[in-house]
Amino acid sequence: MDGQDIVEENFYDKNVSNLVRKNSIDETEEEREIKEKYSLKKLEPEEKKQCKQKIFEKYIHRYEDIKKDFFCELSEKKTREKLRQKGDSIIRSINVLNDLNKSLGLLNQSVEEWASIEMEIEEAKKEEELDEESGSGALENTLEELESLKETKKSIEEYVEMEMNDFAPNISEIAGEILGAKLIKRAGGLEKLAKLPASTIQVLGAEKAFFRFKRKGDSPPKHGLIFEHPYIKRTKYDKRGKIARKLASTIAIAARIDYFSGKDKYEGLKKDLERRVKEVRGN
Amino acid sequence: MEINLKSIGDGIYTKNLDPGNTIYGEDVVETEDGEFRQWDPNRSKLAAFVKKGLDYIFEDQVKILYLGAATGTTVSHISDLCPRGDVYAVDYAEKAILKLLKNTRNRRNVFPIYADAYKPWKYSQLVDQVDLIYQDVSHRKQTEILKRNSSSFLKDGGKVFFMVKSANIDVTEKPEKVFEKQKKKLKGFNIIKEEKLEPYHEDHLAIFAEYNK
Ligand SMILES: C[S@@+](CC[C@H](N)C(=O)[O-])C[C@H]1O[C@@H](n2cnc3c(N)ncnc32)[C@H](O)[C@@H]1O
Repeated sequence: MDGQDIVEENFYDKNVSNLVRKNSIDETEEEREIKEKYSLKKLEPEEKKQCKQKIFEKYIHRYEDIKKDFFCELSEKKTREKLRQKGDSIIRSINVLNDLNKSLGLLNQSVEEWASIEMEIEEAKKEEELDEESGSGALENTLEELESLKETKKSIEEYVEMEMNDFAPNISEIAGEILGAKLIKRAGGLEKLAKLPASTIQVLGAEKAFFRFKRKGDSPPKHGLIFEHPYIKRTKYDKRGKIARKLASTIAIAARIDYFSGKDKYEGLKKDLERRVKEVRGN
Repeated sequence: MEINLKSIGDGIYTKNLDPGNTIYGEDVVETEDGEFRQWDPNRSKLAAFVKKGLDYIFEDQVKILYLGAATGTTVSHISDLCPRGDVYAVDYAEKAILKLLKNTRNRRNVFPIYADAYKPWKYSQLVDQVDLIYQDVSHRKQTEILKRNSSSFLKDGGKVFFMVKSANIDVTEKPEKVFEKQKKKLKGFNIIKEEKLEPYHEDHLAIFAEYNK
């Protein structure tokens, strides 16, 4: 048995055995109380039987309700726990993806510079018709490593996409998997995102701009991370605000569906958003 | 004649234990015996099995372990059929469990369990001995799952419904071959009736069997 199993065993032992294993009404507290109250002992056998039957009828329902509630609570609790873990795993992979993007940006630039200089040297050698073995292969190795980092990035993105489609299908549908995952990360989890107002979702990730606005009186940020969304990117500047507002409110609804109901893709949501985008763009 | 199950027109219907509510948009009819929900053989493999001649009827107080409950389509009809029974409904997909919880909130005889059916010891404290196991899991090791759960929970002489989907076990092999191979593995189970579920479900075999330890 692994650690998880032992934890669960203890959990069940405490909570379940008291409740669920007692299939006979004879063993419950209620029955004992009632027994005392009506002093079952003093009754004639036939009366006793009738009384027991009454108690049984009265309390079997209570018992069943408790049992039903218990299973529901336990299953919901464990499911939520597991979903939270899945959310955490998505957040961590998004962190790695962000770091990887930054590193790749830096590396790309410096490696490119290096490569272009190497090329000039090669050219020069050719002109002088020198035929010596060139370099140590360091540049080639670096280029290979760079390529493999790009592959790694792709595979993390694929992982996030797969997980997000299962974990938050509606957010994925509306925002796209990667942007959706970034929003979940920013909010600190799906539950938190589901509880944010649309206006906050709209500027999520623009905390720096927001700070500037507060401090220096710059114009307030119209949109944060959701700026990455093609609907906003591909819209003229003066109309972006309206689309950002609609997008944010649609994402807010999607997050609530994903967190609270566990429903699969809800068709109406995307259609409604598309309609609004067309309307705003005026075509 | 079982009062909880009715044929109306071409369809079969079960008496709704949660009147006013439906699970998957199924048709509802009012009869002199109360509200009945249509049991769609295209959505439920057990309904397809009934359509193809299964005449077994659940006893009212039966205790059932249901593996692969998903969102509760078939579970709800079984719940209709045994109002005084217990249906322990297991699934390991989080979203499915959340929906199952919602869908069966008012059904007092359904007890959802979030667990992996491949590891019956994880819910052994929640489930007592049962009279029947219904299994419809999309899992490569579905036969092993049935054996493990039967030996953990099923009483001697208990019954099983086993819905085998060949593609889950081996997509490359012909369904017939997969079915034969799985049946060979079912030692201790006496097959009472088996039926392919076409045209309702492609490449599915429904097995009804008795278990002898
Ligand atoms: C075809 S669906 C079941 C449909 C359902 N029986 C009905 O008719 O309404 C298969 C289900 O098996 C579940 N499943 C697959 N492997 C499982 C396992 N090892 N433990 C529990 N559930 C499993 C899946 O999550 C899925 O919900």
